[in-house]
Amino acid sequence: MNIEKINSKFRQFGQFIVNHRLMVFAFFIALLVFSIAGLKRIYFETSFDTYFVSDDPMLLKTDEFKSIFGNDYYVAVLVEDKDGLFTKKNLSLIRDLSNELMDSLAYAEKITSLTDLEFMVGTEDGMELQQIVPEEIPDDQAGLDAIRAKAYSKDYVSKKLVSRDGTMSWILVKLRPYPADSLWRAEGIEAPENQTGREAINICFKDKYASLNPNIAGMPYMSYAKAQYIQKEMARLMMIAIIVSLIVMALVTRSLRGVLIPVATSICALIIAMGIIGWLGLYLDMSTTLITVMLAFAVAIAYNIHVYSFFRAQLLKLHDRKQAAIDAIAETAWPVIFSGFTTIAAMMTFLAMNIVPMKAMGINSSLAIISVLISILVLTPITLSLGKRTAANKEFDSSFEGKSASFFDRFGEFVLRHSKKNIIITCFITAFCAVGVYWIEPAFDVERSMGRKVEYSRRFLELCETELGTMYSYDLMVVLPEEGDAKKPENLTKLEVLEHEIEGYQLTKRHSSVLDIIKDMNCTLNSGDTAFYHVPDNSEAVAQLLLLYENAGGSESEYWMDYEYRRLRLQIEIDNYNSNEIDIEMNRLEDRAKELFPEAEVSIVGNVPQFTVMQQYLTKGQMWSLVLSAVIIGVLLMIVFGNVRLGLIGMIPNLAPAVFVGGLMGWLGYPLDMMTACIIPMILGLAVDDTIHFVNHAHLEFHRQKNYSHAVRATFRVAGLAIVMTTIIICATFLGFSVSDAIQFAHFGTLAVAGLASALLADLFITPALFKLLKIFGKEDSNS
Amino acid sequence: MRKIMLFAAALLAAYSAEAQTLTGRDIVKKVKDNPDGETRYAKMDLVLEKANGSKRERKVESWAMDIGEDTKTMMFFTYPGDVKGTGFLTWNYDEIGRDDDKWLYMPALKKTRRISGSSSKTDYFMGTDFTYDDMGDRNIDEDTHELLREETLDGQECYVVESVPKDKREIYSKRISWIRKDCFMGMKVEYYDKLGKLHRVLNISDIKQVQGFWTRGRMVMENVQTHHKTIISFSDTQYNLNIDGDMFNVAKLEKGM
Repeated sequence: MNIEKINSKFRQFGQFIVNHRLMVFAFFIALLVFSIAGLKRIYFETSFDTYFVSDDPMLLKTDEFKSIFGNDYYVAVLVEDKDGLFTKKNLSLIRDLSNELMDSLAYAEKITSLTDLEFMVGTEDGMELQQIVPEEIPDDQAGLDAIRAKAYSKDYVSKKLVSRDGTMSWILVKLRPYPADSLWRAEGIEAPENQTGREAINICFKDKYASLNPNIAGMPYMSYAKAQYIQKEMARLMMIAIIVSLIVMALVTRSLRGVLIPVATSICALIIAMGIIGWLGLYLDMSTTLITVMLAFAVAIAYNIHVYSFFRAQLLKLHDRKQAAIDAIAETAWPVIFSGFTTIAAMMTFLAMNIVPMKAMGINSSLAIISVLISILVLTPITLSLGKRTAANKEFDSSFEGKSASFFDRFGEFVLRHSKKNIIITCFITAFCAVGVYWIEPAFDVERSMGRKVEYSRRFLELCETELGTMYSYDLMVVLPEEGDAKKPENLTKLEVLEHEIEGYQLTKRHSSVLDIIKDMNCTLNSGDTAFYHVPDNSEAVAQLLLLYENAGGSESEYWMDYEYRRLRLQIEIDNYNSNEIDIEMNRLEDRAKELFPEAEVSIVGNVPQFTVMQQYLTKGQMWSLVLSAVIIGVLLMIVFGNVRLGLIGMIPNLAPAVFVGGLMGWLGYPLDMMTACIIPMILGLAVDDTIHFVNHAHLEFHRQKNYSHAVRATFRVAGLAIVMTTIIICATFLGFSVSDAIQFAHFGTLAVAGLASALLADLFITPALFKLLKIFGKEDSNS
Repeated sequence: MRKIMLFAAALLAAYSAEAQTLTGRDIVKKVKDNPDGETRYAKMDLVLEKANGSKRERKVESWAMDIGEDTKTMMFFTYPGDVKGTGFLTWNYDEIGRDDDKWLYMPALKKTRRISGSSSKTDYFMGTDFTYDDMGDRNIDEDTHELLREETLDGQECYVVESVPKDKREIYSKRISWIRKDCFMGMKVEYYDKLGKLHRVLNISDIKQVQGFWTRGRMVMENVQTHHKTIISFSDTQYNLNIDGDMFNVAKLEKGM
């Protein structure tokens, strides 16, 4: 590549911008206004379902399951009073809360609570559908004791509804199917899951119910609470990033303009990127958007530093702002654009992941980086060129830049003196980290991704630890060959065998199926005699029991058995999450079900298998993303250096940080999640920028004197400060994450800083050593 | 099922000359007062259909008799095979506050069970899209009725009446009924949920006179939010049959059709 030609084109470009700055600025403002209008169209996805691509087999299976058994999402509320719930006041409040949830949750379909339950009671000649709590709640002890006795009269009912000591009770709201995304989006209304979560919070946390200490569970609440938390955290982290980078930039540039221009450029770039995302209707979710925003902010500042450093050096020499701005664009535009492209290439490798937010992050981050490049190439030269000529009152050598140049000169000498030692140490650290890579495991659960310092997460985890609370659930769906097969006692008995077996699984808290209804009806039909709590022995009896149940007002059987009586559903709720153990248990259940129902189709669906599949996608996607980004960046390096060997060697200091970050994750037990999965490709994309700057300068210097020591020292003199400062600023931007209460944010921050720092160290200590050791630019001139 | 028959018959009416000056309440009263004979018989085909197209079908034969202000109904399931012969007997009392008596006979278990107590009004009847309240002989003064307008629906002149429940605990916030002017039969009812959104739509078709009584042939109730449907088709409807009052007891229920 002919750098001189490229630079001369950019010089023309810089001249055009500076000479027509008013007109260009007006166009830029127009683009900004257009983008601001697009911001209104932005919508943040919160539902876990949206993580899957539209033709994903797991999503199709889940949709099929929902079309048969209804929405598997629910809102659950745990109410608690340490002094006991069986008082008139508490029972009245539980009834009020149940009624309000049923009436005010827009998607509520059915409620089950202590005060609202299909409770069949067997009598001598018949059966009565009763409520545990009568319409008129008594206030005398005898009346309340009778209610308590009734609540515990059926063990299989009470264990799902009320704690043994009577201090806790569970309110469960089943939700009707959400309308298709296209419908609510067309109406411009809130997403159903978001709406449900918001409404649940508004109802449960009213002062009126405070004495019941309500604690909410269920995916709609969790998604909404997470989105709310991230929204606040994003603002906080952004503020920290801005403050920290302002301080660092003030120290580096010691100029108001040097601080304001990068910040203004970053903000404009973010507005343009988000505006375009809004206009194009692209997917956005909170966690990955946070990374996009911070990445765009970091690179905007880093790229500006490169432009500003060159501008400042030129200004010291020429004292002419306009000319210095044009020179800065001419000399730095191409490296900056190329750096942007390498980062875009790395981020675009997320398209290889079969996960919608990750794909979106690839596209959105790329758009954001393009916006950063546009802003820097347009806004930065305009703002730098404004103002009068400067007075010639400072010499380069006595300036900060001059002093730092001589420091880096000495540093280069030191590095070359210890080059072998540096390579050995690096090899040792890399090998040590490579071992750790094997221990990385993915995790999507609340405990490991958010942790207990985050309020909503802590409350949820505490709820899971109670006698009644559950964390997640999964479902076994058995599709039998013929209509009516699900009513056959032999099939129901097999389902019962499975129920007994899963009770022995480590993570099972409780289970539900149509057996609960059939056995309860059989028992009720026989005057409540528990000896009849079993499946009747002929299918007509089962069918007629179910008809009796429906005629008596029962409506829950369709949640567990489909209309054609072909499909059986068994739901397993778990109170703890362990990705390895749950995988083993689900596979065990599926295998056992296939063994018991050899002619049936058996599948596992629900949140937990979705998590598991997503983790597999993430692990596989992470590998692909890493390989692709390494290959793409390697090819880009070969192209820019015009040399295959040089391109491959240039990859060494960039792959080392990738292994370092992976090893750190393994050794420190940081799981692979949506955020940590972004780190390695992102670091590859960012770290390669410094390598490009270093190799370019070194190549140039080597051709001047054909001496590696001179080339390295000269490179350190010219580019050392900018390389170190850009890394420090990007690290400072991501440092805020490290102090976040949310585990995955803290992990992301720590790993990003560690990765970037290790990449810098590799460029400072390894790249020059490799130059000299491998003689990458050719033989030295012995006379030099 | 008896309640479905009642619900169907309750909307039967003769044309009135004073119709033009009728209030919303007058119109609804005329619907309720439509004659439906002393005894009735019909075959009913009941289909529940989910949004995904899966269906559950049941067929019954039903006999009903008015005894004073009360009504007794006997119903036998004829389809599907595993519930064939299952009988359902109900005594519906007009007296306010008195619960209906219901018995179900299950031939496979050779047991008759009396079902007492009542489900919540908001629960759906036998998995259909009709609530118990929709099925019930709802007192016209439980709602405030207002004649909204007159308009033509499917070629029939109709009154459009809005009924708002007085009790705020009802499942719906309002219902709007299209009532034929010529026979005071409802043709369409829209039910709105508590958030004011359309929830269910009832369409009644195949309205004709049988033995001089206005009779509906088909009712389709669709939950427009879940797209679940209940289709009830009536056939072989007969009125004023010569039925013995002793037919409506548990012994006859156990004996079968």
